[in-house]
Amino acid sequence: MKRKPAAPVSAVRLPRVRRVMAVNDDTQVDTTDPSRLSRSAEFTTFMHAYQDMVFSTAARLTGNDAQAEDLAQETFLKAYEHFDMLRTSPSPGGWLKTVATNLTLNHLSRYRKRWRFFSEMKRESAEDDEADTAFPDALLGVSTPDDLFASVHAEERHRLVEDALKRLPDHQRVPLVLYHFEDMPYQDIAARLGVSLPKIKTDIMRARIALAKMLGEARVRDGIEG
Amino acid sequence: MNDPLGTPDPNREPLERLIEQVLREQPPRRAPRTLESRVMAAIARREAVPWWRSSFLHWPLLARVAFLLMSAGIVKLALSGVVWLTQEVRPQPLIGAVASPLTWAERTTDSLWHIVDLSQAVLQAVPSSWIYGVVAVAATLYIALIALGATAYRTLYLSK
Repeated sequence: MKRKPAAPVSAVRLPRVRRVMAVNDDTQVDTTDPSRLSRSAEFTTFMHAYQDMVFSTAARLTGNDAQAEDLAQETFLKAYEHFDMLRTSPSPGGWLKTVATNLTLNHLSRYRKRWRFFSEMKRESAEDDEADTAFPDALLGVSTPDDLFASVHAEERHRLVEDALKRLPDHQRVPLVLYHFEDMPYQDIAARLGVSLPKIKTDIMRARIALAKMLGEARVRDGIEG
Repeated sequence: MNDPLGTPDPNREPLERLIEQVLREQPPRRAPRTLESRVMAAIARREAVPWWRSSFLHWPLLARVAFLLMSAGIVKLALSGVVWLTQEVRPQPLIGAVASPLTWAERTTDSLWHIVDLSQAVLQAVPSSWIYGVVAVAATLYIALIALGATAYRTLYLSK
């Protein structure tokens, strides 16, 4: 199932140009140049159309909202540099998503190299040996999201899933998000992350199990089962 | 679907389907309200920077052409200067003029060699077991410091 793409910028009705566009307490866009003002207003509309998508991409990959906001800002600054091309592009959303994904993966790669010694001292093989690969008992008989969240309000359901995603370790969450949200095939994920194909498949499989367990636990804890 | 190791697992396919459906139903996360103001402020800051302080690729075309022509002129001038120097200036006085300020480098090198000789003499005088002991203590302290840092990072930062 493919998600409905965000509306192209050309389809979004542009607001009337404001006389003064305050962007924060101490910075204002130059309003003396009408073309620049119009461009800023158009870009603001463009941002409104795509900011949730860009932020979601970065937030789900990093699992950290503050880092995701920085990365979303960086993505939109790049978009501003290429705005003349993007405003006429038929798929600016695809461009933004690719840039956001690449910036986030580069950020994670730098971060991982910096902190590898501190945070990943455990041998991967040992970790793999210990991992429990059984289907979670709490989810036996559950085959659809409606079975899983029968009596949970949609907003609460979405919050539970986002929280569970955040709690996954990076090496499981990143390939899982790339596979299920970004539609990347296993081979591309392995190549992009510089990890072997079997390891990627194992990580995604374990991420699904871990996610299912967390959702199953939440289901039991919140009394959804009964 | 088989697992990566080739073992058939009847539970895996339903699990993949379930997770796929759960994740596909997630709406986009709402971007923070501060994002737009941050981006617009960064754009305003960038645009406030004069063109000659931004990267070369963002310079006006005329300025880029002028800069390239000027650079080519300077390179040509420098090459002409070197050619003129080698042909017109007699080498002996030039070598003397360059060599005299470099005597300090020679003296510094001599001093460094004296320090090396002195260090060798001291090392030969000290029993080797002392040296090994000092090296072992330094290595232990270094490892302890790294372990302390890693523990503090995992406890204070990762556990947040």
